[in-house]
Amino acid sequence: MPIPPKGAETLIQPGFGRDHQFESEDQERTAVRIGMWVFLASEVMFFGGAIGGFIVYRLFYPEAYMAAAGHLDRILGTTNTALLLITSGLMTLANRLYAPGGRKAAAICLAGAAALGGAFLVIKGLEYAHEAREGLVPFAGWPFAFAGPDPDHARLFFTQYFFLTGLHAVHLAIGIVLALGFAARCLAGPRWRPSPAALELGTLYWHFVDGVWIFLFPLLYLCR
Amino acid sequence: MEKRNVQSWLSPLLATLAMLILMGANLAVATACRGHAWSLFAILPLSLGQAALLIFALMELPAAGPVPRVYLGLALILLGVAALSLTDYATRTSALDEGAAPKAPGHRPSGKADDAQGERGPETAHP
Repeated sequence: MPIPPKGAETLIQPGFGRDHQFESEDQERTAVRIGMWVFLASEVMFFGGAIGGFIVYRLFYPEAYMAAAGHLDRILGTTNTALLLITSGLMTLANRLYAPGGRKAAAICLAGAAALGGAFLVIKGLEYAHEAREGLVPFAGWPFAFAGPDPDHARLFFTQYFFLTGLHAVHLAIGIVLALGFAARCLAGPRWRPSPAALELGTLYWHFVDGVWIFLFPLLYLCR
Repeated sequence: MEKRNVQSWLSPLLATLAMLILMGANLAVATACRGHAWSLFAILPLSLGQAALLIFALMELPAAGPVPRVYLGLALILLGVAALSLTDYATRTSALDEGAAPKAPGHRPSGKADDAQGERGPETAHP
Protein backbone atom coordinates (compact mmCIF):
# COMPACT_ATOMS: atom_id res chain seq x y z
CA MET A 1 0.00 0.00 0.00
CA PRO A 2 1.63 3.29 -1.05
CA ILE A 3 1.97 5.90 1.66
CA PRO A 4 -0.05 9.03 0.87
CA PRO A 5 1.63 12.44 0.88
CA LYS A 6 2.12 14.47 4.04
CA GLY A 7 -1.07 15.82 5.45
CA ALA A 8 -3.09 12.79 4.51
CA GLU A 9 -1.72 10.57 7.33
CA THR A 10 -4.99 10.57 9.20
CA LEU A 11 -6.53 8.67 6.28
CA ILE A 12 -4.27 5.69 6.89
CA GLN A 13 -6.11 3.08 8.84
CA PRO A 14 -4.25 1.08 11.42
CA GLY A 15 -3.60 -2.49 10.37
CA PHE A 16 -2.09 -2.07 6.94
CA GLY A 17 0.62 0.04 5.39
CA ARG A 18 1.83 1.45 8.69
CA ASP A 19 0.34 2.45 12.00
CA HIS A 20 -0.57 6.12 12.27
CA GLN A 21 1.96 7.07 14.96
CA PHE A 22 4.91 6.36 12.66
CA GLU A 23 6.25 8.73 10.03
CA SER A 24 7.19 5.97 7.63
CA GLU A 25 7.04 2.22 7.22
CA ASP A 26 10.80 2.06 7.76
CA GLN A 27 10.53 3.90 11.06
CA GLU A 28 7.78 1.56 12.20
CA ARG A 29 9.79 -1.48 11.22
CA THR A 30 12.90 -0.27 13.08
CA ALA A 31 10.94 0.61 16.22
CA VAL A 32 9.01 -2.64 16.45
CA ARG A 33 12.08 -4.70 15.62
CA ILE A 34 14.03 -3.17 18.49
CA GLY A 35 11.10 -3.68 20.86
CA MET A 36 10.75 -7.30 19.82
CA TRP A 37 14.46 -8.02 20.17
CA VAL A 38 14.48 -6.51 23.67
CA PHE A 39 11.59 -8.82 24.55
CA LEU A 40 13.37 -11.79 22.98
CA ALA A 41 16.58 -10.97 24.88
CA SER A 42 14.62 -11.08 28.15
CA GLU A 43 13.09 -14.40 27.08
CA VAL A 44 16.57 -15.71 26.22
CA MET A 45 17.66 -14.93 29.78
CA PHE A 46 14.55 -16.57 31.22
CA PHE A 47 14.83 -19.80 29.25
CA GLY A 48 18.64 -19.65 29.37
CA GLY A 49 18.56 -19.68 33.18
CA ALA A 50 16.28 -22.69 33.24
CA ILE A 51 18.30 -24.53 30.59
CA GLY A 52 21.57 -23.55 32.33
CA GLY A 53 20.24 -25.03 35.58
CA PHE A 54 19.40 -28.23 33.74
CA ILE A 55 22.92 -28.44 32.26
CA VAL A 56 24.55 -27.93 35.67
CA TYR A 57 22.51 -30.71 37.27
CA ARG A 58 23.10 -32.92 34.23
CA LEU A 59 26.85 -32.49 34.86
CA PHE A 60 26.49 -33.29 38.56
CA TYR A 61 24.25 -36.35 38.25
CA PRO A 62 25.05 -37.80 34.82
CA GLU A 63 23.98 -41.37 35.63
CA ALA A 64 20.56 -40.41 36.96
CA TYR A 65 19.92 -37.94 34.13
CA MET A 66 21.01 -40.36 31.42
CA ALA A 67 18.85 -43.14 32.85
CA ALA A 68 15.87 -40.78 33.15
CA ALA A 69 16.34 -39.50 29.57
CA GLY A 70 16.17 -43.13 28.44
CA HIS A 71 12.49 -43.15 29.44
CA LEU A 72 11.62 -40.39 26.95
CA ASP A 73 10.44 -41.32 23.47
CA ARG A 74 13.23 -40.30 21.10
CA ILE A 75 11.17 -40.94 17.94
CA LEU A 76 8.38 -38.62 19.06
CA GLY A 77 10.95 -36.03 20.13
CA THR A 78 12.67 -36.18 16.74
CA THR A 79 9.34 -35.92 14.92
CA ASN A 80 8.46 -32.87 16.95
CA THR A 81 11.82 -31.25 16.22
CA ALA A 82 11.41 -31.80 12.48
CA LEU A 83 7.90 -30.34 12.63
CA LEU A 84 9.10 -27.20 14.40
CA LEU A 85 12.03 -26.67 12.03
CA ILE A 86 9.68 -26.91 9.05
CA THR A 87 7.29 -24.41 10.67
CA SER A 88 10.14 -21.91 10.99
CA GLY A 89 10.78 -22.20 7.25
CA LEU A 90 7.06 -21.72 6.57
CA MET A 91 6.89 -18.62 8.77
CA THR A 92 9.85 -17.04 6.98
CA LEU A 93 8.27 -17.89 3.62
CA ALA A 94 5.02 -16.27 4.72
CA ASN A 95 6.97 -13.17 5.67
CA ARG A 96 8.69 -13.02 2.28
CA LEU A 97 5.53 -13.76 0.31
CA TYR A 98 3.42 -11.17 2.07
CA ALA A 99 2.88 -8.66 -0.67
CA PRO A 100 -0.16 -7.53 -2.68
CA GLY A 101 0.08 -10.54 -5.01
CA GLY A 102 1.09 -13.11 -2.43
CA ARG A 103 -1.27 -12.65 0.48
CA LYS A 104 -3.07 -15.94 -0.15
CA ALA A 105 0.21 -17.86 -0.34
CA ALA A 106 1.36 -16.15 2.87
CA ALA A 107 -1.90 -17.14 4.56
CA ILE A 108 -1.41 -20.76 3.47
CA CYS A 109 2.14 -20.79 4.90
CA LEU A 110 0.91 -19.27 8.17
CA ALA A 111 -1.94 -21.76 8.45
CA GLY A 112 0.47 -24.61 7.64
CA ALA A 113 2.85 -23.45 10.38
CA ALA A 114 -0.04 -23.23 12.85
CA ALA A 115 -1.24 -26.72 11.87
CA LEU A 116 2.22 -28.25 12.31
CA GLY A 117 2.58 -26.39 15.62
CA GLY A 118 -0.75 -27.92 16.67
CA ALA A 119 0.55 -31.35 15.66
CA PHE A 120 3.60 -30.70 17.87
CA LEU A 121 1.34 -30.00 20.86
CA VAL A 122 -0.76 -33.12 20.19
CA ILE A 123 2.38 -35.29 20.08
CA LYS A 124 3.66 -33.63 23.26
CA GLY A 125 0.32 -34.39 24.91
CA LEU A 126 0.63 -38.04 23.89
CA GLU A 127 4.12 -38.12 25.39
CA TYR A 128 2.88 -36.61 28.64
CA ALA A 129 0.09 -39.21 28.80
CA HIS A 130 2.61 -42.00 28.25
CA GLU A 131 4.89 -40.62 30.99
CA ALA A 132 1.95 -40.31 33.38
CA ARG A 133 1.05 -43.97 32.75
CA GLU A 134 4.66 -44.94 33.49
CA GLY A 135 4.53 -43.03 36.78
CA LEU A 136 7.10 -40.42 35.81
CA VAL A 137 5.17 -37.30 36.82
CA PRO A 138 6.89 -36.00 39.96
CA PHE A 139 4.23 -33.51 41.14
CA ALA A 140 0.51 -32.85 41.55
CA GLY A 141 0.08 -35.91 43.74
CA TRP A 142 0.94 -38.41 41.03
CA PRO A 143 2.78 -41.49 42.29
CA PHE A 144 6.39 -41.25 41.10
CA ALA A 145 7.76 -44.70 40.31
CA PHE A 146 11.08 -44.51 38.51
CA ALA A 147 12.61 -47.92 37.90
CA GLY A 148 16.30 -47.10 37.60
CA PRO A 149 19.33 -45.85 39.46
CA ASP A 150 19.14 -42.79 41.71
CA PRO A 151 15.37 -42.11 41.66
CA ASP A 152 15.79 -38.91 43.72
CA HIS A 153 17.79 -37.20 40.99
CA ALA A 154 15.63 -38.77 38.30
CA ARG A 155 12.75 -36.95 39.97
CA LEU A 156 14.75 -33.74 39.58
CA PHE A 157 15.21 -34.54 35.88
CA PHE A 158 11.48 -35.05 35.33
CA THR A 159 10.61 -31.91 37.29
CA GLN A 160 12.88 -29.91 34.99
CA TYR A 161 11.59 -31.80 31.94
CA PHE A 162 7.95 -30.97 32.64
CA PHE A 163 8.79 -27.37 33.58
CA LEU A 164 10.85 -26.68 30.46
CA THR A 165 8.63 -28.49 27.95
CA GLY A 166 5.45 -27.15 29.57
CA LEU A 167 6.73 -23.59 29.40
CA HIS A 168 7.77 -24.12 25.80
CA ALA A 169 4.34 -25.55 24.96
CA VAL A 170 2.65 -22.46 26.42
CA HIS A 171 4.86 -20.22 24.26
CA LEU A 172 4.11 -22.35 21.21
CA ALA A 173 0.37 -22.20 21.87
CA ILE A 174 0.62 -18.38 21.89
CA GLY A 175 2.55 -18.59 18.61
CA ILE A 176 -0.16 -20.77 17.06
CA VAL A 177 -2.87 -18.30 18.02
CA LEU A 178 -0.78 -15.47 16.51
CA ALA A 179 -0.14 -17.41 13.28
CA LEU A 180 -3.82 -18.30 12.89
CA GLY A 181 -4.79 -14.70 13.53
CA PHE A 182 -2.33 -13.45 10.92
CA ALA A 183 -3.52 -16.08 8.40
CA ALA A 184 -7.13 -15.00 8.83
CA ARG A 185 -6.21 -11.32 8.62
CA CYS A 186 -4.16 -11.87 5.44
CA LEU A 187 -7.30 -13.12 3.70
CA ALA A 188 -9.56 -10.46 5.18
CA GLY A 189 -10.31 -7.04 3.73
CA PRO A 190 -7.72 -4.26 3.61
CA ARG A 191 -8.88 -2.84 6.93
CA TRP A 192 -7.83 -6.00 8.77
CA ARG A 193 -4.65 -6.89 6.92
CA PRO A 194 -1.59 -6.97 9.19
CA SER A 195 1.25 -4.57 8.50
CA PRO A 196 4.44 -6.24 7.21
CA ALA A 197 6.14 -5.12 10.45
CA ALA A 198 3.51 -6.91 12.58
CA LEU A 199 3.92 -10.08 10.55
CA GLU A 200 7.67 -9.84 10.99
CA LEU A 201 7.23 -9.63 14.77
CA GLY A 202 5.09 -12.76 14.78
CA THR A 203 7.71 -14.54 12.70
CA LEU A 204 10.52 -13.49 15.08
CA TYR A 205 8.54 -14.77 18.06
CA TRP A 206 7.92 -18.08 16.31
CA HIS A 207 11.61 -18.46 15.52
CA PHE A 208 12.46 -17.83 19.15
CA VAL A 209 10.11 -20.61 20.27
CA ASP A 210 11.74 -22.89 17.69
CA GLY A 211 15.20 -21.84 18.94
CA VAL A 212 14.31 -22.85 22.51
CA TRP A 213 13.30 -26.32 21.30
CA ILE A 214 16.56 -26.64 19.34
CA PHE A 215 18.32 -26.74 22.73
CA LEU A 216 15.67 -28.64 24.67
CA PHE A 217 15.57 -31.56 22.23
CA PRO A 218 19.23 -32.67 22.51
CA LEU A 219 19.43 -31.93 26.23
CA LEU A 220 16.32 -33.90 27.12
CA TYR A 221 16.15 -36.62 24.49
CA LEU A 222 19.65 -37.21 23.15
CA CYS A 223 21.95 -37.06 26.21
CA ARG A 224 21.42 -40.59 27.42
CA MET B 1 13.83 -9.10 -10.26
CA GLU B 2 12.56 -12.66 -10.83
CA LYS B 3 15.90 -14.08 -9.72
CA ARG B 4 15.74 -12.08 -6.49
CA ASN B 5 12.23 -13.42 -5.81
CA VAL B 6 13.40 -16.99 -6.25
CA GLN B 7 16.34 -16.33 -3.92
CA SER B 8 14.08 -14.89 -1.24
CA TRP B 9 12.02 -18.11 -1.51
CA LEU B 10 14.94 -20.41 -1.70
CA SER B 11 17.08 -19.16 1.18
CA PRO B 12 14.59 -20.00 3.98
CA LEU B 13 13.98 -23.41 2.41
CA LEU B 14 17.73 -24.11 2.24
CA ALA B 15 18.23 -22.90 5.81
CA THR B 16 15.43 -25.18 7.00
CA LEU B 17 16.94 -28.09 5.10
CA ALA B 18 20.35 -27.40 6.64
CA MET B 19 18.79 -27.35 10.12
CA LEU B 20 17.10 -30.69 9.44
CA ILE B 21 20.43 -32.14 8.29
CA LEU B 22 22.08 -30.87 11.47
CA MET B 23 19.30 -32.50 13.47
CA GLY B 24 20.07 -35.79 11.72
CA ALA B 25 23.77 -35.33 12.49
CA ASN B 26 22.86 -34.66 16.11
CA LEU B 27 20.95 -37.94 16.25
CA ALA B 28 23.90 -39.81 14.74
CA VAL B 29 26.37 -38.25 17.19
CA ALA B 30 24.04 -38.97 20.11
CA THR B 31 23.79 -42.61 19.07
CA ALA B 32 27.58 -42.86 18.76
CA CYS B 33 28.18 -41.31 22.21
CA ARG B 34 25.39 -43.16 23.96
CA GLY B 35 26.19 -43.97 27.58
CA HIS B 36 28.99 -41.43 27.95
CA ALA B 37 28.64 -38.62 30.46
CA TRP B 38 30.44 -36.24 28.08
CA SER B 39 27.91 -36.80 25.26
CA LEU B 40 26.46 -33.39 26.19
CA PHE B 41 29.57 -31.67 24.83
CA ALA B 42 29.41 -33.61 21.57
CA ILE B 43 25.76 -32.81 20.99
CA LEU B 44 25.50 -29.14 21.96
CA PRO B 45 27.81 -27.72 19.24
CA LEU B 46 25.49 -29.07 16.54
CA SER B 47 22.56 -27.43 18.30
CA LEU B 48 24.52 -24.19 18.37
CA GLY B 49 24.94 -24.56 14.60
CA GLN B 50 21.19 -24.96 14.21
CA ALA B 51 20.57 -21.92 16.40
CA ALA B 52 23.09 -19.90 14.36
CA LEU B 53 21.26 -20.82 11.14
CA LEU B 54 17.98 -19.83 12.73
CA ILE B 55 19.29 -16.49 13.97
CA PHE B 56 21.29 -15.46 10.91
CA ALA B 57 19.37 -17.03 8.02
CA LEU B 58 15.77 -16.96 9.21
CA MET B 59 15.62 -14.23 11.86
CA GLU B 60 18.07 -12.12 9.82
CA LEU B 61 19.76 -10.62 12.86
CA PRO B 62 22.48 -8.81 10.84
CA ALA B 63 19.81 -6.93 8.87
CA ALA B 64 18.01 -5.89 12.04
CA GLY B 65 20.64 -3.27 12.90
CA PRO B 66 23.10 -2.92 15.79
CA VAL B 67 20.65 -2.45 18.68
CA PRO B 68 19.17 -5.99 18.62
CA ARG B 69 22.70 -7.39 18.37
CA VAL B 70 23.74 -5.43 21.46
CA TYR B 71 20.69 -6.60 23.42
CA LEU B 72 21.19 -10.21 22.42
CA GLY B 73 24.90 -9.96 23.27
CA LEU B 74 24.09 -8.49 26.69
CA ALA B 75 21.57 -11.26 27.34
CA LEU B 76 24.13 -13.91 26.45
CA ILE B 77 26.81 -12.29 28.66
CA LEU B 78 24.40 -12.14 31.60
CA LEU B 79 23.51 -15.77 30.96
CA GLY B 80 27.18 -16.72 31.01
CA VAL B 81 27.63 -14.94 34.35
CA ALA B 82 24.53 -16.66 35.72
CA ALA B 83 25.77 -20.06 34.53
CA LEU B 84 29.15 -19.50 36.22
CA SER B 85 27.49 -18.42 39.46
CA LEU B 86 25.19 -21.42 39.41
CA THR B 87 28.09 -23.79 38.78
CA ASP B 88 30.02 -22.18 41.63
CA TYR B 89 27.02 -22.46 43.95
CA ALA B 90 26.39 -26.09 43.02
CA THR B 91 30.09 -26.94 43.48
CA ARG B 92 30.16 -25.40 46.95
CA THR B 93 26.86 -26.99 47.99
CA SER B 94 28.03 -30.37 46.78
CA ALA B 95 31.36 -29.95 48.60
CA LEU B 96 29.51 -29.06 51.82
CA ASP B 97 27.27 -32.12 51.45
CA GLU B 98 30.28 -34.29 50.85
CA GLY B 99 31.94 -32.93 53.99
CA ALA B 100 28.83 -33.55 56.11
CA ALA B 101 28.13 -37.09 54.93
CA PRO B 102 29.96 -39.98 56.63
CA LYS B 103 32.37 -41.60 54.22
CA ALA B 104 32.44 -45.35 53.73
CA PRO B 105 35.82 -47.10 53.91
CA GLY B 106 37.49 -47.03 50.52
CA HIS B 107 35.31 -44.08 49.44
CA ARG B 108 36.52 -42.53 46.21
CA PRO B 109 35.40 -39.08 45.21
CA SER B 110 33.85 -38.80 41.75
CA GLY B 111 32.47 -35.95 39.64
CA LYS B 112 33.26 -32.28 39.38
CA ALA B 113 32.32 -31.31 42.91
CA ASP B 114 34.71 -33.84 44.30
CA ASP B 115 37.44 -32.63 41.98
CA ALA B 116 37.02 -29.15 43.45
CA GLN B 117 37.41 -30.65 46.91
CA GLY B 118 40.27 -32.90 45.80
CA GLU B 119 42.73 -34.14 48.35
CA ARG B 120 42.41 -31.07 50.57
CA GLY B 121 39.49 -32.39 52.56
CA PRO B 122 36.14 -30.75 53.23
CA GLU B 123 37.60 -28.04 55.48
CA THR B 124 39.41 -26.33 52.62
CA ALA B 125 36.70 -26.78 50.02
CA HIS B 126 34.76 -23.77 51.23
CA PRO B 127 35.73 -20.64 53.19
